[in-house]
Amino acid sequence: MEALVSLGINGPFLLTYIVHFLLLVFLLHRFVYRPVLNMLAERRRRIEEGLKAAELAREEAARQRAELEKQLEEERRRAQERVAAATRQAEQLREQILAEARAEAERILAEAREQAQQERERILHDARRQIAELSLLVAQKVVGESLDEQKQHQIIERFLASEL
Amino acid sequence: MGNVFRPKVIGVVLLVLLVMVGSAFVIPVPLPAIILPAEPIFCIGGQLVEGKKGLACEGGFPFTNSMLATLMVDLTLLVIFVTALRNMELVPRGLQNAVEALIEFFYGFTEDVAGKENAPRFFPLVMTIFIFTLVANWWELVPGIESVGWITKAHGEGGWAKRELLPGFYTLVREPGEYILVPWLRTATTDLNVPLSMALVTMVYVQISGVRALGLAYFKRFINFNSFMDFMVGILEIISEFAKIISFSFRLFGNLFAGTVLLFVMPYLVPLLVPLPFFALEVFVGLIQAFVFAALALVFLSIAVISHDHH
Repeated sequence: MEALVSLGINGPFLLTYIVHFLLLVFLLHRFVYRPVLNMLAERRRRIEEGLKAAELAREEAARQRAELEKQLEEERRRAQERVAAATRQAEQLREQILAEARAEAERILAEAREQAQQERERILHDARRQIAELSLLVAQKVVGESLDEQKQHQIIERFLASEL
Repeated sequence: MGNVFRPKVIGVVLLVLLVMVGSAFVIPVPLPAIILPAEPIFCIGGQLVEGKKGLACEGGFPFTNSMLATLMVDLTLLVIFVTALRNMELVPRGLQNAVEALIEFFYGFTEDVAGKENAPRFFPLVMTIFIFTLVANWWELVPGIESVGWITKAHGEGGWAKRELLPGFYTLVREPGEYILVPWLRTATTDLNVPLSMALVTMVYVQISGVRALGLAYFKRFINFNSFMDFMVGILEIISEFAKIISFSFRLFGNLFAGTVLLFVMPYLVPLLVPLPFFALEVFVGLIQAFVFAALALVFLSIAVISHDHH
């Protein structure tokens, strides 16, 4: 006991310090550690939330971008299709017009040819008739006798028929 | 650059030596009385009298200089925490940041050592040991501590003469006499009662934690009749629990008491410049001892909640 006293160990003092220390633990725990640890937890939660929200926003933005890109692509494809269709149509139209024009030209040519043929034939026919008439006339003049109107006609007809 | 014998360097060295040696003559510092027990500085409901050694109380409860120092530690903690945490903000700033960093560090440390489920139970004790011990230790470095107090008769070997500085205010001078100083403030951890009280609380809490974690099986590590070997180990375990109390308290007490003696003796030998590195050393010692006490408490708590059967 003497040694303890000389070291300064003293029951009432020790008890005072024990009570003081327990009180300090309690008060610091209640008013310092708990609020600070709560604050740390709260901050961690907020930061995690913020990061998660940012991540979500980033994903959403990427998603929207992809969507827009897809729409743009679709639009581009449709426009191209439309241009292609228009081109095709124009081509068709050209072909058609060309064909029509060709057919028309052909028709006009054929018609012209036909007409020319007919004209020629008519002229030839007329010429023959005139030749026949003239020949008959010449023959009359030579023979000196005139055929009657009817006879003359018959001869001409016969001549024409034989010639053709 | 490399020449240390330049006139400028030599001049500085000579100046430092002159200040050091000269101060020993110009400022003769008396060596304070080195007293192990804390001394009463006033008595609650009693009369302060000159005792056999220093001061004593005649009746009432003696209020010691280490108690006043403890209150100063409490006051320091109060000021720090009130300043830091008065307006707690989600985005911390300044002192709040520092306090949060300290607490977060220690909480992480507690989790690492004791595991996630035990950390909330162990943390308040461990953290308080560290904070209180650290601040108490660092009060050792505050100028005026252990050098302002009552001047009283030595009643024994040693002592210095006293001289009146101002009317009613005295100082001890380095001349033989019969007076010593009883400081009003004494580093709290140099009073063995303080480390001992923390050691007792810790070891009691160790037992409580052990019983709470393992039930009555906890006592199997102390009293075990499985074999003679286990029985002897149990006895050693009992002894070691008490040894822990002693090693806890004497480690802290011894380091800090030695530190204060060092800080007494150094100015006594050379008042200026020489004590400086020792003050720096004591900053370090104060931090290390506070951490060691807290860390050991944490380790003992962690060992207590681990079942002995799984060894």
